[in-house]
Amino acid sequence: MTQGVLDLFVNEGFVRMIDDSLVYMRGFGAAPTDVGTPVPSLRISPHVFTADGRLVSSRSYPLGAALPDEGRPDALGRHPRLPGHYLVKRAHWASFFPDRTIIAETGSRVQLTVHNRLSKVHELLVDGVASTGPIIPGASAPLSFDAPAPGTYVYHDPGGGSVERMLGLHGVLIVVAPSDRWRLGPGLTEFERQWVWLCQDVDPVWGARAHAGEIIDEVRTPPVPRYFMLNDRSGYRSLALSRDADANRRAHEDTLPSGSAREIDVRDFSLSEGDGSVGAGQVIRLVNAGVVVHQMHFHGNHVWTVRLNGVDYPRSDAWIDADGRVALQQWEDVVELAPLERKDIVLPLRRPPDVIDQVWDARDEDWTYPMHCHAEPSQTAAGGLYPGGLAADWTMAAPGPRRHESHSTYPSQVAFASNQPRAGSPQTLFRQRPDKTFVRKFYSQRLRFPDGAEHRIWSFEDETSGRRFPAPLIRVSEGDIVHLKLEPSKGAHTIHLHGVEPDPRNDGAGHTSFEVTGSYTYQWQPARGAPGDPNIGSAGTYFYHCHVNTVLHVQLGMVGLLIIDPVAHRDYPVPVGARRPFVDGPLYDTATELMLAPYATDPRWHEMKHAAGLSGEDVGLNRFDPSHFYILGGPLNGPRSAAAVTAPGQLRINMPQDGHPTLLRMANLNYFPSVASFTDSRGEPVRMAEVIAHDGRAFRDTSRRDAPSPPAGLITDKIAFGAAERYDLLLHPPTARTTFMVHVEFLHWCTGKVLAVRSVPLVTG
Amino acid sequence: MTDIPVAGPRPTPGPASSKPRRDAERRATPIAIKRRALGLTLAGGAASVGAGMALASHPSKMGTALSRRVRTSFGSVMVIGSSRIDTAGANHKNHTPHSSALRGPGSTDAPVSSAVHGAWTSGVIVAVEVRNDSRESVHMSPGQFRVRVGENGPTVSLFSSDREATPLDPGSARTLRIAYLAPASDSGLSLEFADIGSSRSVGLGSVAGRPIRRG
Repeated sequence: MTQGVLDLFVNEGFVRMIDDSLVYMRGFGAAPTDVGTPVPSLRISPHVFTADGRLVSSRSYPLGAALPDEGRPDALGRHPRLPGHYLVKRAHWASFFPDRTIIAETGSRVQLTVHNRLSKVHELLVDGVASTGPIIPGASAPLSFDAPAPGTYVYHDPGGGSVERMLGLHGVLIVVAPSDRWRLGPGLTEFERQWVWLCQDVDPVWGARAHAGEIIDEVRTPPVPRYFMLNDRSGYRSLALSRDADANRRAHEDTLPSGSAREIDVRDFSLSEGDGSVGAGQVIRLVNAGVVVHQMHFHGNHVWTVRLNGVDYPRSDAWIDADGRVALQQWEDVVELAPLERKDIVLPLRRPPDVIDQVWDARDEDWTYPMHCHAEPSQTAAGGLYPGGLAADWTMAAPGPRRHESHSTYPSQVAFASNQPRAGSPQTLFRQRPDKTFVRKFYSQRLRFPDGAEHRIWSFEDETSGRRFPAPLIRVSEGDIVHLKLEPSKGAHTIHLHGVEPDPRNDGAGHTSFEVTGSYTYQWQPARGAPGDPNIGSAGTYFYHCHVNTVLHVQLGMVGLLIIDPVAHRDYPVPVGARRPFVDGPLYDTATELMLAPYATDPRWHEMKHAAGLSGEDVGLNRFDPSHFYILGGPLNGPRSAAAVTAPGQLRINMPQDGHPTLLRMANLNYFPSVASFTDSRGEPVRMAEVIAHDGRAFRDTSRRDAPSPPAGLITDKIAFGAAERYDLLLHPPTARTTFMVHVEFLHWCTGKVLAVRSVPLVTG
Repeated sequence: MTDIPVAGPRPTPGPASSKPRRDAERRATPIAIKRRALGLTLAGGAASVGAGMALASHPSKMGTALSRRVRTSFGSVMVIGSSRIDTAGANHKNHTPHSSALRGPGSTDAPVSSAVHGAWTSGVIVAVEVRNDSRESVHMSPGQFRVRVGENGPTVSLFSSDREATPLDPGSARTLRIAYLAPASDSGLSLEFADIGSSRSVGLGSVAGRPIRRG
């Protein structure tokens, strides 16, 4: 090994998956090993290239900074004014990094030597930066470059397009300015500590074929991932619930965010409450080295998305690109991550906005919330074993001195999947008098869909809804105390209010709370918004769904829509017949308010049983092959459709002369990405959609730190929205035409192929 | 020590709980049950009994006769015993409010049957012998073995094993005991082995032909 040069060995070997199967993979290892080596070197431990010319092997950075115990930074002290909140130490804590990470300080010279120990040509490419070029078998190639601009980069072998990357030849390069080691770059977002989350997909068939020496064509034989990983871990191992204490500790250090509750302002993460404190969250660098579009969903807190591929999103004068993707710093509870994309986000670790005061004030233990990809087949392993895929969690530390809380551990993913916590009829703690109550009862019935197909649907009904799909709408207002009573009647189910953020007990995720077999009343209180304040307010579009064997139960239909309305503010009055989507949002016409939700069915899934895959059986829940495609929804007010499956034939929208515009709420209830485009009757694009909110949070201009953040809608003819994402759009049809169309494309999550297009006429006048 | 599969009762928070449940209660409790509690023994040579195993192993107490030895890319594999178990019945019979093997610390609530949850409440334990007749070490992971339900049914991932994934030295043999959840019906169960050296799966024959034994 040459001093100051990091040697990377292109090796091959067999890797143990979450079900203890062995899969052939390749990787950039730290030492030469062969395919038969019992523990092949297929990834490096983190290394740092320093600006002063050193190469240091270190799992943590900054070098010499204090190491957070089990990855959790301790607070500076209690917040002087806010109960249950704490102050965060500025520029204090080191961050742990997962394997495959190379850290380079700006001003350093990154020096690599890549040794190709395999029988075919390989390459190491740092996207947008440098490449070894092809390296013939048995040869070595140097790669030396000045550290690029601060940011997150992927290094990988581009061979076969995605093939070599999927086989394991990938890693992450983080570039940090040594003058700003707790920022994404000079003058950029500050953080308490940072994390790297590397999304990975594994296809054992590709592995076996590569082991046999086959050339794999990713287009002719696209991958069918069977395992999904985050930082080389899946399921219970990723959640630090294995019986390997050392592995659990490492997961806590480099993958599972945790910290004390703090107050933040998304306009400025560098605000201080006093000496040594900073109002910062924790940055997570999301990197997709896989082949599917991942949809990173956070329970408990929305995240603030800052950067894409090394470039900050704007805070003002934002835009929607030609593909329908929004370029704006914003709140999200589902972050779309396409292959090879890198997004830097801030996890605020703030008080969950929809928890009631009494529960918050009584908090005396860690609060843990899941994070998982909402393209739900990614939550499986070996065709089942939910939640055995790409998953993590984050924890809000209990108030007071640090406590090391014990957790159950498991010998296998089967043990974890088949033994989620269950409760009969648990008590709703700190029960309040509700302002609104709802009941949701489980039902199972074959329903006829608009194309004539019948599918067995599991869903929810209330006292008067009848058996319909989607499940009945829940509509509440900010500030309401809401009670939602679940009566499963058969099996164990939960209700998770997607995007709503109460305490874990009312979050409806089984492994961080419980599954219900008798009944349970979920209690929560949507946070009130304030004009111009980007940090508070829950008004928006959401949905609710069962979180038991979620991949199956959501597809079977255990999902319904949820809307939170704002409370009228004296400065933003609301005339009769109108409403605002958030407290200071534009007025819309309530009579023509619409909801559209793409949904597709794979009929094979609709014949499965409640716990399919949970006992370890391979039922193919990693393969979602839809053959029926629908746009569900329709008008939200007015007479209810008589059909059991609510899907519009056409929709009425307002013209400008009709008064307030029509609000269209879109929610992707499918597992794959969709794109909605607006055209006239001849198919010509019409820029008639003003996108005003995403995932229950208004778009705002947050460019001024010392001023209110006004709403900032974006005009477009196209909007892309992945699994579980929601967008709110005001429709402004041009006055010259009378009939428009909304077309929804259903895209395959791996190939990007358009599987279907469904269109709905938008009729004016 | 092989953990016996317990797809059974779990501790639950009760209506009397006055405080938010601790994580230790909220998460599922350890599911390893000392085999002594279920009165089971497994086959296996004395050499395979490692430290910490609860019970002695006697081939005669396994439920099925030895199967044929199947050739692999590196040597051979063979089922040397198997037995069905009914975990749900055993758990109900043996559970007490203070059974720490089943319940998390501090929990005082009654468990709920896993039949409601839907996971299989039966299981099968297989003992296999793997021989490496080659001149090189070979990878060996218990996850290479999968049970198949019925003739064309799904294969099943392991619940637990007495071995980690460790290499098998040339010229040596090893016994593994692997537990799986299984449906309680009379569906025929068979075992398959994924031979990574040849990239193919080999059938090892039926397992657990005896009626289910209750713990």
